[in-house]
Amino acid sequence: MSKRFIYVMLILNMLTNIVAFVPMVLIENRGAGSVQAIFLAVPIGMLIIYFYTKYMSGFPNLGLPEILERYTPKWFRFCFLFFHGVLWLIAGLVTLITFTHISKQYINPDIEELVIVLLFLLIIVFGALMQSRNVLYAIEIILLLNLPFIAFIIFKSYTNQELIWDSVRVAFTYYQEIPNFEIVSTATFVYTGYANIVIFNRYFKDVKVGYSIIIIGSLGLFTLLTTFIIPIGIHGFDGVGFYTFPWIATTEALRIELGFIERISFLFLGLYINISIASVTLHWHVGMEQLKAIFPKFKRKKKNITPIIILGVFALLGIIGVLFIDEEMLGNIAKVWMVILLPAQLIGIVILKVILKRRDKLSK
Amino acid sequence: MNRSKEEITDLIKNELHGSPDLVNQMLEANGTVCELWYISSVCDSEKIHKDLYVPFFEERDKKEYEDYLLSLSSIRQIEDGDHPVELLLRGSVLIFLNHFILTLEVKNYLNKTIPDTTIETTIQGPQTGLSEDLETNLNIIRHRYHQSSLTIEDRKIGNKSQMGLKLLYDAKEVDLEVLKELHQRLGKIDKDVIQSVSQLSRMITRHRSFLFPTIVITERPDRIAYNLSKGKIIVIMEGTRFALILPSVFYDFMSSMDDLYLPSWIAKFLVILRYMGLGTALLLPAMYVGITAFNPEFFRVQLALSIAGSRMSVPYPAYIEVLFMLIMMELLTEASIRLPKAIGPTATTVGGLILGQAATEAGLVSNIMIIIVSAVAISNFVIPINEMSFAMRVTKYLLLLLATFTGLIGVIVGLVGIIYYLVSLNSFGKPYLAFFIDEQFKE
Amino acid sequence: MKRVLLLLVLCSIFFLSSCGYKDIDRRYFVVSIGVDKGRDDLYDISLKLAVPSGEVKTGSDESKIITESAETISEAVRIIKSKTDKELDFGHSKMIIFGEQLIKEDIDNIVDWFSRRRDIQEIAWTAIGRPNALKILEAEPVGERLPSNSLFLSFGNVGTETPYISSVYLFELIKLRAERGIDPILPIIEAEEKDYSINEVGVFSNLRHVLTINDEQTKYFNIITNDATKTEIKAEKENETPYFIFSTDRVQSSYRIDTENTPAKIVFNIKISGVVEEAFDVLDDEKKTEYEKIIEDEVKDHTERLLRLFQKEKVDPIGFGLRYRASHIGKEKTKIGEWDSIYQSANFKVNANIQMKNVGTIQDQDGYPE
Repeated sequence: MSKRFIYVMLILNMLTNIVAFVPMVLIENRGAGSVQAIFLAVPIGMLIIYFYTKYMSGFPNLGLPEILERYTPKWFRFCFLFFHGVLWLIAGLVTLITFTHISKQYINPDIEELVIVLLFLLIIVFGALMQSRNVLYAIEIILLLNLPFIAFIIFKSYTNQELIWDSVRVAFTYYQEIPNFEIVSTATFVYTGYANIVIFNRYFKDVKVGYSIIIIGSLGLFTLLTTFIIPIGIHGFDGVGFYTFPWIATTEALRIELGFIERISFLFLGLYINISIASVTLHWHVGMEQLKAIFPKFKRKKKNITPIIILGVFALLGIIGVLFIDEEMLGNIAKVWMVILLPAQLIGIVILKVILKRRDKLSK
Repeated sequence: MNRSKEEITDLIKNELHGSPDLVNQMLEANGTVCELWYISSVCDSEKIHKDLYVPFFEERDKKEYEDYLLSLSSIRQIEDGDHPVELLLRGSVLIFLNHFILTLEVKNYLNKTIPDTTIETTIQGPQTGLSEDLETNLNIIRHRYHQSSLTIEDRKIGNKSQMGLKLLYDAKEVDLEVLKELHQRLGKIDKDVIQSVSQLSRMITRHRSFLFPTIVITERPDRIAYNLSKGKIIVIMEGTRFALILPSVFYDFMSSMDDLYLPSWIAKFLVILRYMGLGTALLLPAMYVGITAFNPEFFRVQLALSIAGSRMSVPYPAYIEVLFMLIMMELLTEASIRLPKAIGPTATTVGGLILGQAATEAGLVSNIMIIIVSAVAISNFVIPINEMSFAMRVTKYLLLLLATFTGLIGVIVGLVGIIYYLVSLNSFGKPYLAFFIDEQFKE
Repeated sequence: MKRVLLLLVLCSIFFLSSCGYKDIDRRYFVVSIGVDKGRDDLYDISLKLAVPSGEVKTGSDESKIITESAETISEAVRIIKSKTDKELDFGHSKMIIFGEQLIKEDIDNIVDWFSRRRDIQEIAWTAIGRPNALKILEAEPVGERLPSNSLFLSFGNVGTETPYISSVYLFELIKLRAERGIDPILPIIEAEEKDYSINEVGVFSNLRHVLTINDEQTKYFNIITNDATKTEIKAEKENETPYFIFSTDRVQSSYRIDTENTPAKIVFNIKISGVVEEAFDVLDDEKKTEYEKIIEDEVKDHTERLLRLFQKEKVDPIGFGLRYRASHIGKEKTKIGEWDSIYQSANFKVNANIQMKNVGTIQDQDGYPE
């Protein structure tokens, strides 16, 4: 399978993060180390991607569940896959809940949240139940359909006359502040698209990235900077903290004078719903595949319905989450999740290296 | 050879006793007796006369006549596997001469005309399509694809109608997996009568793709030849002038042969136009309802006010208006297939004037609605392959339903849902919708 | 079995709610909002509603204005809702006008209401209405295709392009209200019979109107904030009679703050290029540099006077404070404190560079051919 799907996963993750949790944390800490965190995240992210893909290439055509089954004791595999599956579940869950809230607030305030989340869940569960190969194709198509418009909007926002670059420079005067762990971990989140390889490696012989790591690094840097600069420039260094969703408020402030529609915010929201649905589908598919490997197979009429059960649980959690979790709690969950993420990635790399060493020793 | 003449004659008389067109001719001359059995309605009497009668009375010796017969092209002796009655039904003549039992194919298929393409037309490409006779079709196709690797497989389908089927493929390019799958599925068919190749295609596709077609149906020989060279399998059937091309992916349904005949930029422009047409046909009604009823701030203020103004006289909600006009348009389209030629132009006038102008004047629909519905109707037929066009006609009602109940969110979710559904379809094991298809095929 | 399940799931969605379906002809679009000061500390909220007409081709500027007084804006809007038969839709409100009496006091809470409502466009235009907002809403200029359309077209260089109108978006107002180091401004719309004129700007400090600058000053303000393209500058002879009018083509202005020495110096560099539009005397191509110098002096004079006016009134609409914050390191509060003291004693220097492309389309020639 073509390696371009790795880039598809990475770019999808970067795009979702322009709106989701990353700007929330970065802007909250705009005077307390966000600038350094952005620049630190680039080498950290690049290194992680480089090593992870290098080690994964040592196991051609094997997904993580298969690797763990062959080379590690059962209890370890159980715990690790369970932990991983839950991580992916939470990723999708937070995106889903955020998106439901945004849709209700900005597009259709009269509709009940339950209806919105049921609609989304219908599609997401259908998508996550597809074959892995088909999930990749679907995501690629959705990304390619939406990317030109998103690029256009980002371009328009940079060239907007009302963007006050002085406010941005105020943010950059804080370059000397040392960021805390939470901010660095959040900033590296834009690079974590590669982690979905744990399942999709089943289709790849070799996932090494080579020199294109530089392109990935620059794209990530561009994403982080965009997510940071534009809201501050448009809403002011002091004023940007008032908004719950700074990026949506930013697109509300953009206007195409001679276009077919004047307010860009609707277009942007539509594109974002597309991208988020794709993102949640991907995350839940990967999470489900990992959990599927450790749960017993339930059979009904000779068909394996474990995936449906797992996704049913995910969906139920989604519904409960939408009904009972509010913005603040959601933000806290997201922050905790992102703090766990960076060490989890590092542990993942270490484990892969250890397994590789063990395998080479065994084969000698 | 083990069956005697009496056995065969009895069999024929038994099975065909209700067919007055069964002919039993005895030729006697100079002591030689030759008995002919054939069904006159399917045989070419002229050929029988020329090849069998005349020489019989010209030859002196029965041995010479025997030699003459045995050297005729397409004559052969009856074998164990042959079913004599079936041979008769298919237009062969049974010849009993001395101890030989021979059969000669003298089929007369009256419907050999080669029509012009009517369903799938191009501007500058070949203008004739396939005919309804298998042999003629084979002739046409072979003339377009002069390759020795062109393999032809014969089958019969339909328990009672027993239509002849031919599978064609280029043995060097074809994907053997797909071929095997096709054989399997053909074997599973258990129907009495199969009349057209589209019915066949329904039976060999999986139940999952109940809305979107996964097999292209075409009448163009140039398309067939092109697809043969790409490794696809063609299925032609006796009695229909359409062929099946499988496996097919989504892009095949959106491509027309014109793309190869026109300059490349024009072709690209046309492809983009087609996709725009597809988008319009699917989305316009749903977006209209979604925007005007849920989020009118989407438009510019002038547009919003003029839509509000034009809807002022309409007494019922927007979605009923849209549904009403769309159903009218569907009825018009369906009716125009069955209109007798004499009434044709009247119907266009009726449709255009009355449904359009008068409905607005009477205050039943708004002006904007007319434009939207006509745009949708026209852009629906931009899709080159009919089946896909029909599929899109149905899908837009789905999106309209979602828009009515949940507004724009529903439309977006519906679109993503359609993409997921298309991606999850398989055409004989090949992915239906993926971006760079050639690569997928090479795996 | 699967199909039954699917149907059940789908049907259950339908039972849930009415889902916000409201046809477009059941809504009234609010095109502009006016906030005035009423008696007894109440607010007078006026909403201009666009009434659609069946005549699609000509459009109509039929509109309805409803005013209501209440203690808070939300209450007033709610009362207005009960007075109309259709649902109020703020999605197309593109004009927000504050009455002149109102802005003499702090309008922070009013701007707050606007910023919280997600359905009012953030790209709505904001302005001050003189004598009050209601009069501006009531004005019906001839030839308007929709209500308030001429107001929409006046701002943002959408319709007319002139340096006398400063356009301020709602989100800009919200931003400037919070941002330290730059003060908000609003254009002033003056009602005149059935029409109105816009050529002055009000400057705010902490959301209270403290200064009005007239049309000439507005023009130069737009020049130095890079918001003006088609301007013209009048050159006068010594005895104050007009000499020629210079029409500008491109205006580029930038500034630098020099805080190393005390008192601080703010240096402006303005580059203007253009042609002569109207001449009251015969102009000579040779004397181009002389004409350029005249314009340069003109620009320098007006700009320095404007800047000093701002300094005297202790307002900073150009954003020098923000620039200071952007170029120095430290806590924001300290920086602002520092800047406040520096600004008072700062000196201004304006360097103008005028490029006259040619002396108009007409070549002034000496006499006629023989």
